[in-house]
Amino acid sequence: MSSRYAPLGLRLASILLLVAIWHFAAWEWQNGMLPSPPEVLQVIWRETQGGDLPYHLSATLLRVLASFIIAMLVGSTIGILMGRSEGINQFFDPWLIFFLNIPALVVIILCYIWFGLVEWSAILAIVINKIPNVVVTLREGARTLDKEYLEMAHSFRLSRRKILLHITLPQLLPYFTVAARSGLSLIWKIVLVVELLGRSNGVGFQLHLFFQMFDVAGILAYSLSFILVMLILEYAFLQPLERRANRWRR
Amino acid sequence: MLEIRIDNKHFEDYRSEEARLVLENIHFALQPGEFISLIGPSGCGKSTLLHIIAGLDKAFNGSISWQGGHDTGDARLGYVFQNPRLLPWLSVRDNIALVLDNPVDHAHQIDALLEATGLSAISHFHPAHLTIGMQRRVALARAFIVQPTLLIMDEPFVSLDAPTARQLRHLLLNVWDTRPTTVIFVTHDLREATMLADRILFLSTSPARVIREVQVDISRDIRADERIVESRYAELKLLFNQLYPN
Repeated sequence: MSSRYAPLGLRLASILLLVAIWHFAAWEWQNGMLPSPPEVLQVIWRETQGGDLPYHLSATLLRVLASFIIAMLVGSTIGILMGRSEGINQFFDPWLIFFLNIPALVVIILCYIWFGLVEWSAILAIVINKIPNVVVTLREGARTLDKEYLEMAHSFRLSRRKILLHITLPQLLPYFTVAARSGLSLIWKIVLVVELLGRSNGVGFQLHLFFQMFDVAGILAYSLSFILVMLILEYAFLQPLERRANRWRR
Repeated sequence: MLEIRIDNKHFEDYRSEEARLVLENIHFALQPGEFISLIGPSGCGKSTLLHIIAGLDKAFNGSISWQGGHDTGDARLGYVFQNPRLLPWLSVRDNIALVLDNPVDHAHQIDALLEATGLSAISHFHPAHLTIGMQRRVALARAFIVQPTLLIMDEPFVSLDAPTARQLRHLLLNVWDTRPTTVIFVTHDLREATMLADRILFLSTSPARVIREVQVDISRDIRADERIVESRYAELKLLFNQLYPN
């Protein structure tokens, strides 16, 4: 029991220490460029009351979720195909390296120029940025699929559906979770840039406004709120999902 | 029921670019309900032979013909591998149910087989929590649940401690007694083959050929009698030593 709860205490202590350092620094450096934690909390409260914060947070969250789902689906499919077939892998590997190395900013700018400042070109830009990472992870997973299980499946004449559901996907699940967790954190950072450059709502759009006014409290209020949303997603969905998927392990 | 004619089987050797001959002139037939055992030195190509019979490997010269219009594609096959190959993310019961087309309709059969193999109490466990002996019972139950036309067993009791292996051999005989099927059983243990099989085929070192065929001649109702098995084993051991002088 204690081993399970001790890290929680440790984590709380570490967060409290961080807040304390912040508070102390703000108190030392009183020129308005670093607001103290209570001041930021006040902004969060004010923006929540006015409805701005929930509105922009949800706009960003929707973009994150939409691009996350599309990138995971497309990226996993390509990754699994590349992992299973050496021919496909050889053919698409240069493309993969190209897309892995093209800067996020370039993709975003080009999408906006070519397809206009519309929602779907924003989503497309995020998806293109994320897909290569999913492909790399799932390709690795597909390469490690156990041939012995497949032989067992074939000797018992299992249907393709059963092989996919009960043999292939469970083996890929750990790779899928890795891609999902690293994906979510990568995607939301890109979403902010996309919003800053060409959307009229979302956390990125708000940060842009606060930047123009040098409003650090506003910047911190919006970033911290969104980090909180991501933490909730991580602890409430991703981690329980991962535990559930791994409960058969010893 | 099943006629196996393998003229030859080669493996590509990527280093020398020459094809290596692994099986040559393996011809034998199985009668319905017969239990045959294949004995041969390690690495002689027994697993390859089983793969061909199971239809997992189609690149060979020869034919596998099933009487009664079956081909390898639609004969019901049970396969017990050397390594149990249970899916670690499924419970014991789900591992067994997986190989059935319609597990819900066969819930009774699954229960009965779990009972017969002594797995009822642990049917909700995951394989990682079982001993290797228990895992092999599950693999056995999984193979029997499909009511196989042919049951292929590839050294299913190898590297178990002697009492566990003995227990599992008796279990196999019991289950087979109530659920009779045709069996091909690969082993390198002559005593095991003597106890279980109706007929033993001895294979040579690679490339594998059938070098001798022997009827065991112990009637099925007295196989559990270890003295009878032991005296027949002593006779076969002499032959065995001639066939494999080293």
